[in-house]
Amino acid sequence: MSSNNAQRFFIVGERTNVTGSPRFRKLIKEDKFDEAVEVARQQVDNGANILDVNFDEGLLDSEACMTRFLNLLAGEPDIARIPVMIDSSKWSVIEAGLKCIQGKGIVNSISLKEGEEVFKERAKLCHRYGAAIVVMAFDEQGQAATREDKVRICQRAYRILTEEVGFPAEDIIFDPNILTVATGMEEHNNYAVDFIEAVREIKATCPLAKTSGGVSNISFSFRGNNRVREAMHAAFLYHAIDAGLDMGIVNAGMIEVYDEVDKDLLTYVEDVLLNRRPDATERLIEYAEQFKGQKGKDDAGAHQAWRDGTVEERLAHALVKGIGDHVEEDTEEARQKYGRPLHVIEGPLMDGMKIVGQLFGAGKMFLPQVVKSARVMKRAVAYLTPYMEAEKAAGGESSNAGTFVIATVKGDVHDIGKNIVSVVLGCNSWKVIDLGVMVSCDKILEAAKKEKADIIGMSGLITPSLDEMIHNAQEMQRQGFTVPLLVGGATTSKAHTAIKIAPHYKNPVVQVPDASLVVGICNQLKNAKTRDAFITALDAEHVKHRERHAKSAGRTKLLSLAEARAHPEQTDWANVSLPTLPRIGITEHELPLERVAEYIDWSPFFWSWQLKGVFPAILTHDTYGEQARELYAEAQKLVADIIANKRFRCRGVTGFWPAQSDGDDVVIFNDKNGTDPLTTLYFLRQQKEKVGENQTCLCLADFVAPASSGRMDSIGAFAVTAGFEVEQYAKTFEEKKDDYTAIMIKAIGDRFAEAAAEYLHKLVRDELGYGQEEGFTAADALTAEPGTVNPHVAWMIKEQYRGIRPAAGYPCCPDHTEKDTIWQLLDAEKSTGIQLTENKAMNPPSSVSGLYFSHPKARYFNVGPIGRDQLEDYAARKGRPVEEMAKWLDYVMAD
Amino acid sequence: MERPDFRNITFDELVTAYTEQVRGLVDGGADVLLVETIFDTLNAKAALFAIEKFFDTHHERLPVMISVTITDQSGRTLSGQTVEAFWHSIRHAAPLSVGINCALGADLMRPYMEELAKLADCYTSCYPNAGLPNPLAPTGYDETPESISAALGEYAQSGFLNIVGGCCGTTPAHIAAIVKEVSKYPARQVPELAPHLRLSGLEGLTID
Repeated sequence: MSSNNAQRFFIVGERTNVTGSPRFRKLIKEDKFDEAVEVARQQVDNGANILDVNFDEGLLDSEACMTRFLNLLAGEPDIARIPVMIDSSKWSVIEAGLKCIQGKGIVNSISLKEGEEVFKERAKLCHRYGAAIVVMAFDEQGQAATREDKVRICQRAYRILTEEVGFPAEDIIFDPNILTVATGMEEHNNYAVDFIEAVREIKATCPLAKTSGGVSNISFSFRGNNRVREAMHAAFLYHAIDAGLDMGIVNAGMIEVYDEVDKDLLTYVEDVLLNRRPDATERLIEYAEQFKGQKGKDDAGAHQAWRDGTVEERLAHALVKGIGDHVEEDTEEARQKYGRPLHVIEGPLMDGMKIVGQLFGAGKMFLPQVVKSARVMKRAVAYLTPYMEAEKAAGGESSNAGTFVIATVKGDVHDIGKNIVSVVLGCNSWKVIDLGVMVSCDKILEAAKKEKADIIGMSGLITPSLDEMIHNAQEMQRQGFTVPLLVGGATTSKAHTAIKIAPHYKNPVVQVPDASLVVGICNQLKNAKTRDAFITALDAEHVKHRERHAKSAGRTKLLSLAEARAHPEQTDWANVSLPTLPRIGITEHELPLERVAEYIDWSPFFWSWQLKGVFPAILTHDTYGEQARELYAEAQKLVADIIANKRFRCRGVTGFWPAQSDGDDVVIFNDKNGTDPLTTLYFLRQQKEKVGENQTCLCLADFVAPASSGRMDSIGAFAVTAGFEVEQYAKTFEEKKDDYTAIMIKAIGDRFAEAAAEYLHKLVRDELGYGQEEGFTAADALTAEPGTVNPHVAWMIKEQYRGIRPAAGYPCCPDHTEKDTIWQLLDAEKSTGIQLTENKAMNPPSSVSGLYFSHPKARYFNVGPIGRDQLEDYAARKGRPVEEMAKWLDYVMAD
Repeated sequence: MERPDFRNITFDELVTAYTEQVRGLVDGGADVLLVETIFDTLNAKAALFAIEKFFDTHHERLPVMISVTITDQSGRTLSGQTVEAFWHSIRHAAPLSVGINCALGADLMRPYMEELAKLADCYTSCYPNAGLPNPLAPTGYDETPESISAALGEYAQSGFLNIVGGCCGTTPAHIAAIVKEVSKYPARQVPELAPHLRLSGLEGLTID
């Protein structure tokens, strides 16, 4: 597109966006950047004038992805010919993108959300990098929904930009927020009109400024009904362009022509968009039904209709939909029809689960649905079990895909992922022997022998569990095992498995990154036809990881410990503000569940179900939205039950002491004068040589004033838990064969523990004084409508406050054994009931602990890799044998 | 070439290096800063970024001149941009002038100078080589004072030029000839252009 081709409306291609395109996200997650580039090419081929690029996803290194992708695009002349729209809600990602594009691109977006100063600063930088900007209609109070608010905020932004920043008016693009209509909420009915009218007024009152919007938002309510969605987009764009909309973020190639929309459909759609009648939404929903293919009439009617099918159809339907209402009666009918209980399992039940497996594999079902299916399956099997036992007594046989022994390793208590794997394998006809948590190697191997396991699975969440897995692999080799070993859990990785675990065991060691992959892996390993090819590919992958590791090991240069210590974080200790301690020693806290619930960050809850996105955006996600809403609604019910019936008990302890740093240590005192030393905390310092930036080697001790400053500083510590009650409550559902609810409860228990830590931290900041300046206090209720996040909570999730609360085991403090000191300081086991396992995991698992640093510049960082010199120095300081500390710190050691 | 996403230098490293150069030039008494012989626009943007950042705190702002190199007759920079795309990429720096230098001789860069003169709402400059280097020519370059001044005189006559000079292979004799020739014509009038949103990738995109 050359500038000579005048046109009125410009298309911003939306598919190169990890939050909007599941396919693109998958390619990025799988590191298939070459194929991701093809997505960009398709958008250009389909007529995109500008390319929107977004990597906002919790689990991605968004800055690195942005840089890598834009650098790749630069090498593709047929894509790079069009301008780039760098799309992120994180400034650091935007800035990373701006450093990669030679052309004049667009930043999407900045806003007044964080106040005028941040806004002005960023606008100025965007101009300096040579980019135009999208300004969202968002201010300190939140997102604008009404026409008045949209116009007011945009006009204010326009005035600030043109009069105070000197930003060229023609480089401003306003996005007045396209919000979803036809949600059933009356206050949403005018959203399309609000947008269109806001565009008209902004264009009239802000000379030269342009307007843009994310068009597919408008039709989220009709997800799955593309015919209606496309009609809505066509009609909406028609009216918005008429009002002056200059560009829209759309799926290039999926825009219908207004005139070609079916006239009747258009009337219904425009009734909704233009808010022409109060019943417009109901009428469109009703009318839209016919476009949904075969599914007929209203839900209640359809619900009854499936009961008319054959028993096989009914069982399959119940399994796919996770409906348990009729499962016993249908199973009984099938038992009578098939004669033997085993034939029911191997026949209609397994057939139903196969459909579930296929839909899951094709990305048409999601993990929570599969676990619900498994719950129905378990109930059916439970119903048949007495009959099978009667048969067994009479000499019957059973069959399954294979036997899988699984456990969370010694010293670790986390089992959500492990339980999901067990359920998924179980419903794919594997016989799963689940040994539970904190299982020692000899117990796992003994069970594997006794049950004649085909595969052994080991899970762990904390870093010392990696070392446990290495040990277990060695032990399997020593005892002459030959079955494959699967490892999984948040700290495991393909690289670590290839480099550190697999070399100890001569048979396959496979890291399972995602529960959805475990069935494929197990079946391939079990099947004689596929096994060899799988192992060959696995070995090749391991070799690749080892080679890559060997190469990168040479590249990272470490400073000596002495050099690193010469580059600490500098603080002007004479002038820095240090809080005055309100108390010395510990305080116990009993936290009301309803207050804790206000502080919950829901995003990780969805991650535990492998719905990867950020709350609340995930509720309207193209692919996961429907599933996420259902899961969220169920979680809300459980939270209400947990609060009303006091199912959990949140207990915590906090403490503060005078303290001063001494090199890389922090000495803690009983008194303000520093005459009565209590104990010492030991920290590690970064040694990695930094290229192209100022060398600072951070250590947490840098954030505490040294004795030489002449000032007494302080340090705090905390431990908090949602209680053993979480596990006990979950167990009541496990006993009822309801793994789904049990896993839900544990996942919610983790959220309560994290939220309790956040709440305690707020209490502490208020107590220390600087929390009083945050615009709210711990006493304020932080309420939010369901499906939204309270702005103060959102602010805390972003860790915007002063001070940090790192745990022993965080990347900035990787030595888990420091928990022992924290436990002594807090008398934590007595005050909270949280015990430390031999590998320093906290039991109950829904627990959080850490240290409080209140230095204004205190921040999280990654200490590793460290050198042997620091390991030896550290062990000497702690008075522990070097080899013992080497085991704990193995995962941060440079090679 | 096996890793097309790899860059041997980062934007930040360039900004650091350019900042040092700017400081040196300003301390040495420079009256104007010229970012020239640009073949990679991102690199030039880092230089412009460093200049603006420097003037934020250190010194009253000096005028900035910008000059790009068109390396072959495709009419694109080495990093693939058209003249229009290049101009859109750097016009935020509000330069005193923009122009073309080095590489092609005056005769071959005419269409690009013509385009730039039409697009740029600031002064334009042109200082070509004395033709492409030719090791067989007695001076190493083909263009004589007569031939280069004839070509640039025609530029001036066509209204492409505000600032003129010579790059590689030109001598005082070349410059004298150029001065004599272009003095016959009035300087280019800087056009007033409507303010539109002007974006670019490798090509320009104007949204009006």
